[in-house]
Amino acid sequence: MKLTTTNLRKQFKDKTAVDDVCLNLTPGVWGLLGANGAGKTTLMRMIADILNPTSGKILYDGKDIHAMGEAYRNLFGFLPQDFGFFQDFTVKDYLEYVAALKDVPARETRKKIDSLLHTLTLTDVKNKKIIKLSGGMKRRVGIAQAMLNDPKILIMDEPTAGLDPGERVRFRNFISEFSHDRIVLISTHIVSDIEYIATQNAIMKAGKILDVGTTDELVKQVTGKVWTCVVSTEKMPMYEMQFRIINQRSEGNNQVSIRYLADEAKTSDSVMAPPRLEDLYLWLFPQEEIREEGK
Amino acid sequence: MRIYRLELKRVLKSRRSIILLLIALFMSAVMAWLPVTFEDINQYGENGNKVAELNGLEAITYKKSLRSVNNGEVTPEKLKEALNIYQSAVSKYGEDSIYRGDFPADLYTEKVFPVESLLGRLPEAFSDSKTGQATSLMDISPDKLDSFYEQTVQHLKDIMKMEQKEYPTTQEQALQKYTEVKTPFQLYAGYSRDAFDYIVLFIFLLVILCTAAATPTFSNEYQTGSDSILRCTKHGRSRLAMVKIFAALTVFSIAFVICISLHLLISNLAFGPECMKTSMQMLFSVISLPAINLGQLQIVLAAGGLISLLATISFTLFLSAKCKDSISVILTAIVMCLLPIFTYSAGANWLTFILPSGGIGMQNSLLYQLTGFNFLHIGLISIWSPYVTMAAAVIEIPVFLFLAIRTYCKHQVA
Repeated sequence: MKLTTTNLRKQFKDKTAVDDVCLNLTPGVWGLLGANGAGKTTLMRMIADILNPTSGKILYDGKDIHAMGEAYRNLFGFLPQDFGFFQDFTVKDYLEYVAALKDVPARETRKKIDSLLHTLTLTDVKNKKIIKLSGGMKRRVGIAQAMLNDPKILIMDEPTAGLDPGERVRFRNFISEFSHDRIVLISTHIVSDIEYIATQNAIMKAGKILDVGTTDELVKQVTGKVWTCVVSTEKMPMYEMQFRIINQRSEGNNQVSIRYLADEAKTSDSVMAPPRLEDLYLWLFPQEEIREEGK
Repeated sequence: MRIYRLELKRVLKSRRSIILLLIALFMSAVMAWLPVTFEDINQYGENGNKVAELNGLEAITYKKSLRSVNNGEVTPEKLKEALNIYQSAVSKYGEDSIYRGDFPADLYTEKVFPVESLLGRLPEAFSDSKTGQATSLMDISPDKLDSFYEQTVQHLKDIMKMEQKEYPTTQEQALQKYTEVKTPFQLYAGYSRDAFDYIVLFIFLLVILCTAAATPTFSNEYQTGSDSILRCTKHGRSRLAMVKIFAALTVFSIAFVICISLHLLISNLAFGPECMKTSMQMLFSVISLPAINLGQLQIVLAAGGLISLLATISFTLFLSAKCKDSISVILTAIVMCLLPIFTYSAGANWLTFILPSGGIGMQNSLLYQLTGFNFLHIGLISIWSPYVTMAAAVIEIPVFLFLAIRTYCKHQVA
């Protein structure tokens, strides 16, 4: 099973949102990392076949997904970044509706819905109108609908946005189990959500794929560039101006432990730290740049 | 079928649909009752004094009791007798006195009112052949009424010569159609033209309400983003579009049938179901072309209204599949509902009658087209406007539905 994008490009008037993207998605969890405006959502929409590429192709096992039509959508589950529901439907009504559209047999629908509601801790609210649910619950309903047909290809755009830490942990475990023999592509800003479950990551910037690899392979790029040191709280404003600080933690006695990115140690007591995926993300997408791209 | 059932459930659970359908149901009763409240008459005692001022149902019952003597076939003999009564009662005071209000009220109630509905079409039938101006009842000789039905044909000839001067085949076409009208006419007095105007107005409101309820069918899902999920599902393209369309058409057709049936039921029970046997020519123009009675006219209006509703809804669904913004859809759809009223006033007949909502509105409505002599011409062919309106609507329904499905399937999430 393989999902391939070949020289995929999407042009919106004067902006190239996705530029010559070639990806070979194989079974496992794929993390799609990139700042706002990097083109992740556009890429996912094209893979979902709800947005036509300007050029290039998307093939599933060598077959054009657009030509496959229903057959492709039958294998597919999608959670968009921004989505709405039928406001007057309950959770159960909505999932039944989507299950019918996904051609889940009627006799299996109830069982499938109950199982997903249980897994996503939504059982208590199944008869509640979706309009009355919290943001996190709505997103979990979104996750549930994407998985109703046990998709072979699952695409999730920012699935953990709005979930609390406990829900994110449950989501990670759930996806980790689910991804066996399936292609799961997850885009997120919360790097820690995919760091330990992603078998492969693709890093996207300005519409292009910068790099593809396992977390270990990718973080090698920032080996020797992640440092930690302890500084006094009075000097923090100065360090914040001068260093690319990733993290800080109070150590008591007016001391703060900081983790920063730099080609070389900036203080004599700095110690090199093992790199993580988040370090790579922030190395590749400095905050100033992210803010610029978001504009 | 399962998706269709769930889509029906979705539509019927939508607060917007529920509110609009409840308004439609409420309006069907209110608008049927309003013409009843317009009915009034004074009742006079034997000494000529007013004994009661009757309104609503009481007025209808009293009026019918006064006029029931003339119920049945409108024969020349009956017309002659009625005209004699009228002329002998009015000659002393002059016809103008009736309109001025100085005609003795008790005499009016006793002599004039009972024959008024029977004689109501005579001034038109005997109107001036050159100007079309109606003749006073006082100027019509009762002897001429032996050939009343021949005179109606002559009047039609005169009118067609005036209105379709350059189209002799159209004139013949109208005369040919008029031969189908059954004579003698039937009259069961009691039903008011106001009630028919309210049927027309109610159908117009019903179409607007259903249009408003149909506007979010696709556009709302584009706007909220729920469409991104649905169109990624196996049946989320053409099948979902078809299901949504058929569910909308089912709900609005059933709503229309229920509301118009309730409206007609209330109206007919109030005015009396026997009035439905009256020939259309006795309430509207004596030379109206349709060979139908009032009951059949109601059915034609309801069926025509349903066809116009379906055409308008089909167009609205196409708009909804095309636009991402529900507000733009609702505004455009309402403008399209109202457009025939303005295009008709501006004299753009072809445009008026080929619009999906061409059969609803005010003067352009199917009722007034059925009572009129508006023929549209293409080369040598002339087509009566009600046929154009209905044919256009029937053709537009599948065309706009096909376009709605195609547009929905081609929609891009961006």
